[in-house]
Amino acid sequence: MPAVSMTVNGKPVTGDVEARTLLVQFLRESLRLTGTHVGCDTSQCGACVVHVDGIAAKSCTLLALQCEGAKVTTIEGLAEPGGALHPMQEAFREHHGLQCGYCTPGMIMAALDIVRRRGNELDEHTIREQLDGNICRCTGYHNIVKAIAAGAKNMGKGGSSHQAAE
Amino acid sequence: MSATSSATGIGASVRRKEDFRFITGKGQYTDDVVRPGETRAVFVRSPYAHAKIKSIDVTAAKKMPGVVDVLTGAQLATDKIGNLICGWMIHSKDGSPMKMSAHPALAASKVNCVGDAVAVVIALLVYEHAILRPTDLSRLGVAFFNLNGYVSVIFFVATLADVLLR
Repeated sequence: MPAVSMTVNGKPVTGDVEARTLLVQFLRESLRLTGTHVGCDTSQCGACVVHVDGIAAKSCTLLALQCEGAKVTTIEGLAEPGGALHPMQEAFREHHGLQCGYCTPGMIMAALDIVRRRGNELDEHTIREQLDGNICRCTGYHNIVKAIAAGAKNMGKGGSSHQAAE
Repeated sequence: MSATSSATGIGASVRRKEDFRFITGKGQYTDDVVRPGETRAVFVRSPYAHAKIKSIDVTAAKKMPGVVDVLTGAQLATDKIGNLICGWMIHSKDGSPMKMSAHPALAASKVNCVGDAVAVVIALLVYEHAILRPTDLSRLGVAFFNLNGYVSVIFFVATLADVLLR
């Protein structure tokens, strides 16, 4: 089985994977980082969104081997080492942006990418459009949109020592 | 941390307890849990919409490393495990139970779908097109109204027969 090496949440990792192993399987099964979820078979739901080299990617549609040498950030890598939450995570909690929580890691990672591309002042229409790749069955998206708008704003205020996941 | 959660008393917003693990990727959804000695099930599904099952050969699969067992619909029948129940049984006016076709949890003899009536409809549409020419639209009425009438009645009869006879 081929070996793969990458940096995940700041730590170098290696593993033996099959050529067909998806990144999401590598993260969940080999690294036991189960915060990244599998919600569909069709690359539609976005529960698997992680950051690869700073850009949001659906880990269900990437092979682990494709990420050789890459810097991967998952939901587990967002909070400060001391435990303080990232402003975007805090915003989801504050604004009731989740119910069952299954889509939430993907929503948060996608939200950070929206901020990276569109800045900190996000209007509702932009957020709704940019969340096209994320599906939520519980909330009706209303509070997710509110949370993302608030989280983006708070990131801009420099309330936390990191603006976006590296 | 946000300062807006300090209000208490009647009408104050209460933060959910479960959110913390969901927004940090530490939720324990079913697929996240791994127990020592656990087995996992994989379902093999029919690639055909409507087909008779002639045989299922599980010998090679059973020999694969790590496979505990391979089960088929035949074993459901042997173990006298009944069909999937109907969530809402209705009775005829004379009190007799509704007629239901078999819905085993694993298909044993036949893979089903509704499809038979469609073939008849297509044949008539070909005739419909055949009786018209760009220079001779005199039979337009026949093509569009009469024949569509025949098609819809046949379709209705076929659907009714399917409902009554299944």
